[in-house]
Amino acid sequence: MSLRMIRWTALTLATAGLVLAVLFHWQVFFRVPTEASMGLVQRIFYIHAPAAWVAFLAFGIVALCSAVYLWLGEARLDRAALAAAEGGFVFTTIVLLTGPLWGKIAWGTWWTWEPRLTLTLLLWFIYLSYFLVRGATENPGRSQRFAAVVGIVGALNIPLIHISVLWFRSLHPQPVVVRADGPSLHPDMLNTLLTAMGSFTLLFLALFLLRYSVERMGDRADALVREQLHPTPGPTPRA
Amino acid sequence: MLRSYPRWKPVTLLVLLALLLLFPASDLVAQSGPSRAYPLRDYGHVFLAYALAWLLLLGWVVRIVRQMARVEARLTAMEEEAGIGV
Repeated sequence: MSLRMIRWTALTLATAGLVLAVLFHWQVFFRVPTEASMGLVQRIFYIHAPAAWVAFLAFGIVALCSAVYLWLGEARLDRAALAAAEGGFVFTTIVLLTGPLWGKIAWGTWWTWEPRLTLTLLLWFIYLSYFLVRGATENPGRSQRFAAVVGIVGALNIPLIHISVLWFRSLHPQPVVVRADGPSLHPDMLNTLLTAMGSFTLLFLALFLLRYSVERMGDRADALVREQLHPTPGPTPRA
Repeated sequence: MLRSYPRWKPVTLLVLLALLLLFPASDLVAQSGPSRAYPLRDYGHVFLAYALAWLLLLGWVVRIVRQMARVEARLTAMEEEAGIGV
């Protein structure tokens, strides 16, 4: 895919994502019914849960690209993993900031060391270390391989985060959408949540593509530098 | 080729936003049941959560745009240098 194509795709996805964002904000503030027990503050759910979904999606991409990178050694997979990791880190930060704002009103505390919160914070630190490891060695290939391992290990945490509320006693609410007996949300709430998830997913994919294109251009610049320093001999003229 | 940015159509976007915002919401608001007064702190937390989320996303956008500008400037300089050399 050419850079121009990547940019156009990113722009299209971003526009669709922004339109959905306007729609879901309108739904959140004008349409969706107020939750009975938590009241107004439950509306944070429509930004907290989609951010968590996108963070999981992003780290899933990191793990997949990292695993295939370790197998095949293709540089573009490492670029894709890095771009996804940045997005995942941003969205996990959103989860970790919006959660306490909700928890302070709903639970009476900003933070508690219960399993889901602790594992999410651990995920954030794992991906922070992903970026630190990338710059840790002088040999870029080596640091990319180390980072790929960290990316795979970090993604193993994702299923644990999801099932932690089922396995352990937890303050965090049980899943309301991904359940064996179907979603337990009011239809308007579910509709709003799905719109927000769609918006965040499209915005993430758009920014992921742009970030990937930056990495690709950076690699092209590095290749040009190498070419200038060590020019490859041209084709030998025929006799 | 690197400088071929797609052009925004601000008027199109504004019309789209206006249509979405002008969509009659009053009937739907009435469906959500009787209104209840909530402490000002609840509004503050909701506002802050949404503001922080969008600020972080905006921060990522700014970072990407700055990186893109830096790499493009580097590539352009190298291409110009190579052109002068030829």
